[in-house]
Parts: sequence; structure tokens; C-alpha cells
Amino acid sequence: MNGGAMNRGATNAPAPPARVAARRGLFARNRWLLARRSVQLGVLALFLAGPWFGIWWLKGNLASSLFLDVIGLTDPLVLLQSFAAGHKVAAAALIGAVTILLLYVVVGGRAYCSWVCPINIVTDAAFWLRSRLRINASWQPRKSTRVWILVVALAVSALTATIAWELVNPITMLQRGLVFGMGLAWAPVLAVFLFDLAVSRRGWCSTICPVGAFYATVGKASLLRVGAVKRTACTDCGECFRVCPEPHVITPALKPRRADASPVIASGDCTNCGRCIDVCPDDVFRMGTRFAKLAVLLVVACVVAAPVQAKTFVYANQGDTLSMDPHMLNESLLLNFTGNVYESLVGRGRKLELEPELATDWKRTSPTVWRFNLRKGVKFHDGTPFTADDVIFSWQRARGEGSDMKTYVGQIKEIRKIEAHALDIVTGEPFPILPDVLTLWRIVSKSWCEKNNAVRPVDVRKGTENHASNHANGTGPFMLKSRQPGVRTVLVANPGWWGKPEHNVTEAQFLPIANEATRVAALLSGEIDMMEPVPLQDVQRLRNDARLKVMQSPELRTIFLGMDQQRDELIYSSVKDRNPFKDRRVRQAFYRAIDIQAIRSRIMRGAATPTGLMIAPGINGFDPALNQRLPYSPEAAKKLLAEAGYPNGFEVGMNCPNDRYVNDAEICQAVAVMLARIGVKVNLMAETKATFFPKVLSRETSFYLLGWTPGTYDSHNPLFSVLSTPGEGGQGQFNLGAYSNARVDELTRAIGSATDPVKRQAMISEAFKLHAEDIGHLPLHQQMLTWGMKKNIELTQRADNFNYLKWVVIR
Amino acid sequence: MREAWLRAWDSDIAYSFRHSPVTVAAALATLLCVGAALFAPWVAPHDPFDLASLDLLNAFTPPAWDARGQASYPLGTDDQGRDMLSTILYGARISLAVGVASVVFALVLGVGLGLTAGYAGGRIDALIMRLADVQLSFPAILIALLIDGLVRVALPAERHDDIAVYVLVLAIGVSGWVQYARTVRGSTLVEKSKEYVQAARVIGRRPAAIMLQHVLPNVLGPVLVIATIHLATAIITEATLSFLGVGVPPTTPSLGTLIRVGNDYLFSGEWWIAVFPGIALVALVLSVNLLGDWLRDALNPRLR
Repeated sequence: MNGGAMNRGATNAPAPPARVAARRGLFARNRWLLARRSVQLGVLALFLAGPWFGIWWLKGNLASSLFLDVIGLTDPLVLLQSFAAGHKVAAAALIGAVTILLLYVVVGGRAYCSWVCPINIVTDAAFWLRSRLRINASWQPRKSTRVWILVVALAVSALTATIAWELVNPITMLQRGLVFGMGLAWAPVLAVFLFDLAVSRRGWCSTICPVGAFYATVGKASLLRVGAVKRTACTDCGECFRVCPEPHVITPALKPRRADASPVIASGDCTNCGRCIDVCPDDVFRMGTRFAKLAVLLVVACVVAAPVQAKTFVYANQGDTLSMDPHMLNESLLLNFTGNVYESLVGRGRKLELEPELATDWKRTSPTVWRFNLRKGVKFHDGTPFTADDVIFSWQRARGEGSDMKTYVGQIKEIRKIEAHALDIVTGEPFPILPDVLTLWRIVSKSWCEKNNAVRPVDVRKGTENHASNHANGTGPFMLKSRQPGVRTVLVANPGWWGKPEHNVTEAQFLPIANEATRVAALLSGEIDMMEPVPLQDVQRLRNDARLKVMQSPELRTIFLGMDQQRDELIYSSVKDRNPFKDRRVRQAFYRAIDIQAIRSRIMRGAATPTGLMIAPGINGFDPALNQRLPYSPEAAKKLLAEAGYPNGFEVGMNCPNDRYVNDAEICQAVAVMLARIGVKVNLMAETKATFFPKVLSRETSFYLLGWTPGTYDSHNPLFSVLSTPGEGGQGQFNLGAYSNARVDELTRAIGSATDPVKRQAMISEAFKLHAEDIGHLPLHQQMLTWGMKKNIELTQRADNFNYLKWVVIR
Repeated sequence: MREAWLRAWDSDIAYSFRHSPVTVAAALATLLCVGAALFAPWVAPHDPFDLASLDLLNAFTPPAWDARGQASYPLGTDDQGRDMLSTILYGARISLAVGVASVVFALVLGVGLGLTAGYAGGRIDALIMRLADVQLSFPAILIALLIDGLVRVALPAERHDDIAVYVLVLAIGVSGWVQYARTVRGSTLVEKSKEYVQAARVIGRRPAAIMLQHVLPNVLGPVLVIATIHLATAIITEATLSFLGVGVPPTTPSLGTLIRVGNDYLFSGEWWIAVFPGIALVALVLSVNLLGDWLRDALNPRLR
């Protein structure tokens, strides 16, 4: 390769290149050069593949690019100039620059110059030609020149508000020239070539180019380095100094003043090109790391840091959370989802046990007074501190106009502020289960609600939106990032949460996917991490998939049918002037016409427990002796209808959601078929819950399907909310057909304040027995919770169908 | 009478029909589909609309040739225990009815507007044809969805099921009139300058009479071809809308509704709920399309 070396010296020893050639093949002795050229051309090809062949793996240029449309990369120097120019730097650009910086900190700052920069090919060619032509004259500008150019470039950027260096940078010019046609870009590239050829040995890269200066600074800390590890074997042939683009970096490592000095080339100027490794006949050099220990540390740090990195949890449900307002609708999904953002005074753990949340402790100071001490130092997501005033405000909001949560705070007569973080809750009557009832009453920020005109929740029956519907400001472990109703709601972890996170989710996306097949397909394709409910027909298929798992357990929810027993004439019926549902025989006929076993085996595919009670086993107060259904008998039903005066049946409209409970619309269809057999024609209105709930909650229904999970896990809740006569303070708020039995109301009141467990249970049993005898509602079954997810997801499936993000771990 | 038969048998159209086996097969298939649909109450083994006859315990029965199948349900049953064969026959009936009705609607609307535009010319022509151009720049299905959505908003929810079929006919009809109007307008412009029209005008006939009695019979040929092909499109559009859940309600399912219901069970091995209505839809649309293609070729002298 080089004739000059052949003539040097009069020794008998062969010239170094020949010695290298003797020991290694052509390929092996140019390993690093070849690798470097491949990488250079590869990077260039990546950039050119887009504009030339339409393969857009990498969009943009060396200054700023987008890899696979996802990973943004930015030249840190360009960013620095942009910063100096006073441009507003986009977060994506900053992240891109940090990515690149980290990369070069690892592989060596000026590795950019020798492994990536396209100009390197030009200057290497100039150097090669220079040695061929034996041009020895060289004027070397001072090393500090490029630093000054860098400083000037930044200063000019700042003064002219442009990215100054990029206007004259031959690197980007060459690259752009290759893409768009060279045009005038030849001129600076040629100038660099001629400068390096005729004026200065490797002058451009080592003394002029400010990009090199910048990366040299980065390279001071770089990890990957060339080391003269076998420097004792050096035979002083000088080959490394001859090929090195920055020869001054070698001396301190190869010929140190002190024998115990580090053999690693420490200077940031070294480009890690590896040419010295190629040409050394004595294998003195080796590519290695600066500090072996540090490398190990870094790897460990990466592994440890991995869980801290962005972990996005994408999950889907058959319906959307209808609002971000925690007082707007008493529905499990909404309470669950907003429960990631808002918190209550008293919370519930993985097994539904009570645990302190925004209150640290509480005790009953008199039969009707409870002292709650609030957690100190808690901040809402907007930074305002949480105090007793927020609790009082939240109480007024939850009991006031438009709230669907009255049933949870209806027992509270007064809240007295003791000090900023202590208060007394006063109930009208002794109410021993108060803490249990408070768990779903979320605390909102007083100042935020007042500022944003959201003092009152939106009444679901009226259906307009306010600021709190699509924005949120709670104290919880997650914050609302963005919300598109019906499409996607994004939460991000709250770094300032008071608790110790047990999750590793940094971002969670919630998608409503109503179509069952689409929802299954999304999980199978990996688009989502978790979804519920799994369509029962697909449970087996998901179980058979090696990447997925299905969690199934009984839910506390009871699915039932309700009938309007209040109006004198049903709003959807062929019967005029009277209400057939006021006749117990008609209700009993409906009950006995329903073949619950067929629904269980065919529609629920076994994933349901038929029930004769309005509560599930597991709810406090459940009495197994009462859990008896009236036997199925269409004949008896027909007879009952005839006795009631409807031998040929009648027509009735039925309201049913189709995206709320497991196979809800299918159950209604099956009920319609079964009732057809006793002559009742059901006009089924199955619709999305966004239109279903406003309708039935304003009692615009004659016959409906609903599910109920006692929010307190105690019988008092369904007795008070679903079975009691509609009244004040949330009483009977969800008794949509207005079933009424004065004795049940009386018992419910007594159960609320009862303390003796035996007496209390007796009253609960009596109330449910009365309701069953009246056939106030038609209980159907308790469904199974069926969640499908990827195997790497760990979460808690609470029996009330709550899936809190604070317990989600992505492995 | 016999002579008339012979003349018809020897006519160009009949000749080309006889010598195209594909067309004969398509005609037979169409006849079979239409016949089965029309006579569904007599042909079908069960009445899927009689809810009282359904038994949930028969749900998800596979086709008869499967070991778990039952002979009384030749193509199996759906999620509510309805016989698939019967629901397909009844469903095809609704699909066909909606298809034919919307084609007739589009035809009347399109021919009327086309005739008026072509005969009247001037501003009326410009107005109608620009309207047609605007509508043509939207996909037909989008227009149908738009009309469907508007009607649904305008009417109370509990009335939707009763009027669903009419809404569909309106939506599909309105989205399809442009083709008729354009064709008829073109032909009308040609016919208008012919001598017989001028003669009619000279003897003082009213424009409406000239349009309907003189021009219309002479522009109907191409309309017939468009109508046949449009029938296939209309059936597909109806199926698409029903598949999207804005078509006919599940209580009176069309083929598209049946496919939508079956779609939920495709992953779980109960393939027959979606596949058989799908096959029926393909067979119906394909045979109607082939017939339409043949008719277009046969009526076009330049292709002979």
C-alpha cells in the first residue's frame, strides 16, 4: 500500500506492512477499515433508501431524523445551535439528541467522525492520494481552531437566530447532495478534499471541523476505547503514527512517561477508527473499554433501569368510561377508571379489605360522630394541597344536584372541619358501616372545580358535559393525559403520588372496543395488553394461546330484570289504562317463564351462577337458605297470566344495554324468546350504555335489565339503593321500577344503624325474603369475571370487577 | 302464439343467452335464490320469526353432517337456537326486497331527474347535474350512512325498528340515482334533437307528455342494464349497512345482519353462523352480477 515505507531504514527486517501481511490475510488485516466503511455506507444507504427506493426506514438527514417513524434522532450539535438561536426546542428533538449523545458516550465521541460521517470517505481518500503522491508539505492550523469555529458558530447562531454552521457544513451538504442532486454542494466537498490533499495533512477533520470538536468533548467520557495493551511488544515501526488521523493521541498510551500509566487512549480526539489495530504488526492495540468495571456497572444499570423505562399498558373494555367525573355515574367501570385518578378517604385493598387512603385513620367518637384524620402532604395533580375543605366540598358535590353518588353520602348529616387535616363526619342516625360506604366517594379539588365551573356534576339524565367530564384533577397514582370519548383515554403515572407505587406502568391507554371479535383480534395481534370481558365463546381459544392467559373468577355483581310498578299505565306496552306489572301474578309469570339454566349453559357457557337473591355469596348478609329460585315452568306462567287477565299475553318494550354486562343483549334476546312462549311479545331496545343509562336512570322504561354490585360489599347497599322506595338522600335511587314495600324500607333503616350482628342478619334475611315474595325484581345470575391478557401482565382481579392500574405490573 | 315463441327463441338476445353457459347458470342460480326467498314460508323448515318456537337449548347446533348436528337443522342453528337455513331464506328475502325496492326508488328518481335535466336544459340541467357531480364525489356507502344517521336522529329510538327497512330503501336509493340520471340525460340530449320529438313539439304536445311518452321509451335500454347491476350493488350496500349495525334490526335479520351476528363467533369454532349467510350473499350477488354483465353485452350492438 505504501511505497515510502519500503525504503525507510536499511535494516534487514521486513517493512511493517509486509510483516502484517505475513501474519494475517488481506481481509483480517483490514478488518476495522472494512467494518468502518460498511457502517459508513450502511448509514448512508439507510438515509438514501428512502428518497431513492422508497424504503423509509430512516427519514430525514444527519441533522435530524426519524427511525422507523418512531424513534427520533437529533444531532446534538444542531440542537445546541438551535438552542443558541433561541428556537423553542421540541421535547422530541431533545429526546432524540439525548439518545444520540448516550450512543456516542458509549461508542466514543468521535466515532461519529470515522464511522458515520460521509465526509470521512472524502478526507480518507485525500489522505491516501496524498501519501501516494508523496506530498509531505503540511501546514497544520492550531488544534484549537475548530473549538473557536464551534464557539463562533454558536455565537453566530445566537446572533442571527439561524442554525449557522448547518448553512456551510459540508457533511450535510454532501448528504443532501446525494439525495437531491449535488448542485453547488460539490464545491465545499471539493474544497475539503483539496485542502486535505494539498494544504494540510488530515487538516479538515482534526483542526477545522467544529462537529469533530464537539464530539471530541463528548468523547472525553466515552466508554469504548482503543488501548495499547501490549505496548511492551512495540517495535517502534511507526506504522500507527503514520495512519492515525490524530497521531498525538497515541503517544501518552503507547509511550507513557511513567511505566504504570494506563494503556488506554484517553484523548477525546481519538476517533476509534481502529486503523492502528489493523496496521500494527505486533498486535499492540486492542479495542476495549475504558474501565472494565464501569462497563459492568453500565450493563447492570441498564438492566436495573429497564423497569423504570416507559412501560405502556394498553387495555380495552367493551364500553367506554362515560366520563372522567367521579360523581357523574354510579357504574363500576366509571368508578374503577376514575379511581385511578381520584381517591377516597377510605380505600379498599386487593381483597376488598378497608385500608387508609386519603384518611390515615378514623374512629367513632360517639354513635353518630366519626373523627377522620387526613393524610398530610398530599397534593392534587395541579399542585394544590389536599385539605379538609376539599372533603367538605366533595361531600356537597356528591350529595347535590346532578350527582349519581347520593346513595354513598346520603347518611351524612354534616361534616365539621376540625383543622386543615382533621374533620368530624356526623350521620343522621347511628351508622356503624360508615367507613365501608365511603370507599367509592371520591374526593375532588375544591379550587379546581370552582375555577373550571364544575361545581356540580353533570346529570346523566340530562347529558350535557362540563369541564370535569373530560378533564381530571385528583390525588391518585395516575393523571389524565388525554381523553377522546369513545376512542382512547390516556393516563400517565403521577410521580408525586403520596403512596409507594407497586406498579411499573408509566402510561396506560384505555380503549373501548365494542365488537367482540375485534376485541379478541386486538388481544391476539398484540395491539392491546389486556381486555375484558372475554367473549365467553373465545375463552378456550385464548387459553390455548401460548402468549395469553385468561383470569376467571366469580363476580359480586347480580344481573336482574326490573319492572315498572309505579305508573298506572306502562309507557311501552299494548295494555292501556292499567299496569300489568302491578299484578304480582304477572311478575311471577315472567319469573317462571325464564329458563335460567338454558341461559347459563348456552348464552353464558357455564360462566354464571343462577341466583334467587339480589346479592351474591361474598356480600355481607348473604343467606344461602334464601337463595332459591321459583322453578321454571312455562305452563304455570301461562296459567298465572290467564288468571291475571292476560290469556293471550301482551306487548311490552324492554330496555337493554349491549356493551355493559357479559352477553347482556343476548340475555335480553333469550328472555324475549322465552316470554314469547307464554304469549308476551317483547319489543327489545338493545343499545349502547351511553344512551341506555340516561334513559333507564330517568325511569323511562317499563322493563329493563340491570346489574348491581353493592359498592360497600354489604347488604345494606342494595337494600337501600335498589330495593327501597325511591326517596331522599339517594334512597331507592336505582330502584328504577319503584318497587315499594314499607316494611322493607323500615328494615333497611334499622339495618343501617344496627350493631348486633345476629339481629342485623335476621333483619337482612327478612327484607330479602319479603322482596322475593313480592317478586320486586327478577334476579337472574352472577356472572363470572373473564379477563384476557398477555402472559407478562400481572394484575389484581378484584371480585367487584375493579382493575386498578396501581396493581398492574408488566414483566 | 307458437310463432311468437319461435321468434323470441331465435332473437339475438335469446341466441346469445343460449350460447353462454355461464349466463344460463347465473340465471338458474338467481331464479333459485329469488324463488327460495319468495317462497321462504313454504320452503323453510322453521319459522325463525316465531319467537315462541325457539328453544335456547338448541343454540349453536352445528350443521347436520357434523356428529353433533341434528337432521332438523340442516345448516345448524345460531346463538338463539334459530335454524340457519330458515334464517338465511328469510334473510335473503329481506335483502332482496330492500335491494329491489331501493333500485326501483333510485331508478324512478334518477330517470325522472335525468329526463328533466336533459329535456329542459339550461339552469335546471346545470343544477341537477352539479348536484349529481357533488354526490358522485362521495362513496355511496357514506351517503347511505349519512341519510341513515339523519333519519335516526330525527325519529325517536323506539320507532327505529319499525321504519328501518324504509330508511334503508331511502338511503340506498338516494345514494344510487346519479348513474341513472347521467345515462338518461345523455340519451335524452341525443333523442331531443331527433325529428320525432320535434314533430311532437310542433303538434303542440306538452313537455311532460313528450318526455314520458316519446323520449322515455327510447332511453330505457341502458337503464335496464344499470338497474340489473345496481341490484347487486344495492344488496351489497344493504348487507354492509346491516353488518355495521345500522341496517335492519336483528329481530328481522337480513343476510348482512346474520353475518354480523356470526362474526362474533368466528374465532370460537361456530363458523356456520357467519359462513352460510356469507355464501348465500356471494351466490346471490354473483349470479345477479353475471346476468347484468351479460345483459349489458347483449344489448350493446358494438360488442356483438
